[in-house]
Parts: sequence; C-alpha cells; structure tokens
Amino acid sequence: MVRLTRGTRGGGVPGRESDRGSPSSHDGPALRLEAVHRCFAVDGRVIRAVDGVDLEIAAAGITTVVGPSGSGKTTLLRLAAGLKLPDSGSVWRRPGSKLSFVFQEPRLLMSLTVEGNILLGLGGGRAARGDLDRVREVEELVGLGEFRRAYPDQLSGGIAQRAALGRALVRNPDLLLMDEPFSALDAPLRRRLQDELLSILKLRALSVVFVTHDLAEAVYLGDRILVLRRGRIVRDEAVVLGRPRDMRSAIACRLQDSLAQTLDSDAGATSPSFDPEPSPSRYPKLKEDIV
Amino acid sequence: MSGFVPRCAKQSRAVGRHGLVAQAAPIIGLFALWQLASSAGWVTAYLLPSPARVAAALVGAAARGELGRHVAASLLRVGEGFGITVCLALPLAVLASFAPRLTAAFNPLLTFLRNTPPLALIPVLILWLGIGESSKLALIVLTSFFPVFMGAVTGLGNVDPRLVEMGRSLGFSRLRILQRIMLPESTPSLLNGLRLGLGYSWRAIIGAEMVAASSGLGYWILDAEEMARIDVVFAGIFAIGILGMLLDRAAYLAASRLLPWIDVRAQWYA
Repeated sequence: MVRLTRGTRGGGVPGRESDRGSPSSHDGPALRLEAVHRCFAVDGRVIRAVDGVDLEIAAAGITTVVGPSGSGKTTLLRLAAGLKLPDSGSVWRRPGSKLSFVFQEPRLLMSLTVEGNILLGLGGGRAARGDLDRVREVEELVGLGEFRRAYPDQLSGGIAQRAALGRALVRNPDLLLMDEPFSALDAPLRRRLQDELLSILKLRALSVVFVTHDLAEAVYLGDRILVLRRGRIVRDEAVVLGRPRDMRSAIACRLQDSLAQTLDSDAGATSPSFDPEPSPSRYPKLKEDIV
Repeated sequence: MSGFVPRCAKQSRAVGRHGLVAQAAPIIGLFALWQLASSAGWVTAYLLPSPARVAAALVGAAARGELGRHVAASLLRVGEGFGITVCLALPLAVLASFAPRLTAAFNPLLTFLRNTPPLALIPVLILWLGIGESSKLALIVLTSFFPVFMGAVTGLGNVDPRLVEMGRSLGFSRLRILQRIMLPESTPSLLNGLRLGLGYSWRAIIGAEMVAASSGLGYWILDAEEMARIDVVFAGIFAIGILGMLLDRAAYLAASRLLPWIDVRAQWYA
C-alpha cells in the first residue's frame, strides 16, 4: 500500500507518493484508513470533522457513506483522495492504483467542450492518438455522444454531471470517490443516473465510495453502508439485497428504517462535536478548505 | 435529452441590423448639424472648419501618402509598446497570483504608480531615455501596464477554488493547474484588461508623439497646429478616433474567434 502523509499533495499521482508497499498486493483493499483524525478551526473553536476512523474499502463494490450534514462525510472522502491530509493517522492506497473524484457539482471548465473536459481526465497533457478513442468510448458509456462538442454553459445539470462522470471514468480508475454526485438533480433524473452508474459498474470492476445524505440512495446503491456521526463510523452494514433492488420490498424498507434510527438515535447528532481544548490555531481555518 | 441549448439562442440578443442603424443616426445627425453651422456661418472657419474641408484635408493627406506614413508610425509604436506591456504584465500577474504575500507588500507602491498620470512622467522619461523611440515606448508601457496587469490579477484571483481542487483530484501539478485551469478560466477578465490596455496605449501615443517626434499622428496634429491648419488638426483627430475604433473592432473579432466559449459580444457591448 502507498501511504499518504503530510506534505504529500495531489490526488491520483502514484509516482509522487512514497511507495513503501509491495507492488504485488493487488488483492488487498483499495483503500485503508488507520486512526485518521482531522480538525478545523471555526470561530476560534475546534471541530473534529473526522475523529479516529479506521476503515478498509474492498477492491470492488460500492460503499455508501451516509450521515447528517456536518458529520464529516465530505472530509473523509477528501482525506481518502489525498485532497486533504490527516492531522494524525494514515491513509493508504494500493501502489499504482488510480483514483477519480466526482464532486457534488460538475466542475467543468467553461473553456472546453464536453469532449475537452473529459479529455482533461487523462492528465491535461497533449492528447495522444489513442486518447480520443478512449474519450469517445466513455462518451458513449455515459450517454454523451451527441453533446460531445457542446460547451458546459449549454448543458443541463444532468448532462453536465454525466460529463463529470465521464471525466472520472476516462482515467480507468481503480477507486472512484463520489461526493453526493446526484444530490443537485431532481428525483427522476437522480434515479436514472443511479441506474446508469450501476450498469457502468457492471462492465468494470472498481471500488466506489459514494457519499450521500439520502438514505434511499445509500440502500439502493450500496453493497456496504457506513453511517458516520460526529466524525466517527457508528455503523458498518453489509447489504444482503440482490439487484435490481426493489426499494419497496420489506427488507429494503426495514433496512432504511433502521438506518434512520441510527441517524436519529442521538439528539445532538446534527451538530458537530466541539473540542473543549482552546487551541484552534493549530488547525487550518475552515474557510480555507472547501467543505 | 433536453439538456442542449443551441449557441445561436445566446446570440439573439446581439446588436442586429436594427441596432446598427440606430448607432449611425446620431453620427449622421451631428455631421449634418456641423455642416449646417459652417455653411450658415454660425461659426468661424478658423475655430471649426467645415466637415467638407476636414474631409478634403484627410483625402489630400492620404493621396500624398502623408496619412499612411503617420498611421503606420503610430500603429507600429502602439504594437511595440502594447507587446512589451503584455510580455511584462502577464508573467508578473501570474507571479502575483502565486505569491499573494509578496503582492500585498508591493501593493502601496503599485497603487502609487497606478495613480501617477504617465504624462506627468514625460520629463523624467526624456531625461532618462532621451527623445528617441524608447521614451515613447516607455510611456505607452506605463499607460497600458496597469489595466492589463490588474485584469489578469483579478481574473486569476477569481478562479473558482473548486476547479483548482478538481485539478488536484486529477493529479495535476501546479503548473498544469495554471495552464489548463487558471489561465483559461480567467480569460474574460484578462480580455477586459487587454482591451482597456489597448485603448490606453492608443491614447498614450498622442502624448508620446507630441514629444519630439518626426512622424506619427500625434506629431501630425502638433505640426498642423503650428502651421495654423485647423482642418488638418481635425483630420488628425478623426484619423485617431476611427483607427481606435477599428483596433477595438479587430480585437473583438479576434477574441470571438479565439474564445468561442465566451459570449464576447455581451462582454464587449455591456
């Protein structure tokens, strides 16, 4: 495994990370977090966004992460991506493995067409001969063929988010990290993109960590569900439902109810935990980070 | 799929043929009034020559090749001066956006310089650089530097940090983030600065050429003044104004060609 430590920046570049694991460890987990802590300073107080998380993510399958807002879901995902570094603890990824990140917003460049934006996923250098074929392939996969030459300001939210998914998939990632990618879309479109994501994942084995605040979405997509509260994993549930999933089945409803109970079981669950020690200057200000 | 908005829909709010007529009307009206005032003898020809006389002076100078020579000299100076400005201002703006503390330290100095009228520096420039080309170029650079620099700094500073984070998630280096994300994203502001800078350099040229030049539109006007040829002075003023408009138009066409994702028209005529 490759360890991400302080001073290591950049998401998916394995060459810049210190490679201390054996390269043959391909059957191991895609991602491992060990005693990871990360705090922020807000208004002179310290918030423990991620408070001692130990976690292993398998090399295939979808892990959904649910939790109330402020529970540290997004921070956890950014720590996994190397976009943030832990205050203590460590994050490990397989050497040579590639990761892609899909954000809540499409984050497309206005200066590029859909095709140019997807091409960006291949590293932003000069396009090689095979690159364009690869981009075309992904465009078909995410259903963007006819929008290839359109600019982002001409796209609806759903199409734009498909382009962002295309930019992530064109890299052929081993690990796909998704931060509430469909939450800004209306319900029918969200359901459609969920199904599209599932059918794409049937074609290629990769590991997905999918953050959402929508319990139904978590149950529909997840092979495994993690519930996060106050920066801690309070529940880790393997989902035994088959696919396609009937969300009205008794088991699905029961699972959703029980997850809702876990989320509600603590009255203070929605407020982030505050550290009584007054030493906020050690931590970065929240506004410097994108939360 | 209903997500596609065709480009042409965006351009429908452009200035159409209708707008062009509307824009020409006040100009034609002004000329008509001017001609009337001259013919009726309301103004003395010494203070305001008739449009016909000004046109004759312009055509005469063009026929003798005098106009072409002065226009070429002025254009060359603007081209050189503005080129130097761009080569200086853009790298410095990139540097400033990467070193915000350094920029903050220089801020009072920059504000002082920005608020010093370049024309006030003419004596100093002549003292240091002589009366040759370099003092004229220096004046153009001093005049056009700040709009270009500030446009670039503003543009780079306003790039959405979420896009930068997106670049980092793709494993981009800082240089690649600058090249592929920050520079393209800051083009609207950059473009605005370049356009202002070009206009400023064109205006500075007249000041520059009134300082011991032997060619250029500024020299032509000053020379005509000494010869008491008010019609030629007006011809020179028109030549400068019309050329400035043409330059702006050329910059507009280049921008809309090179930057297809920006609604240049909306920005230009906002």
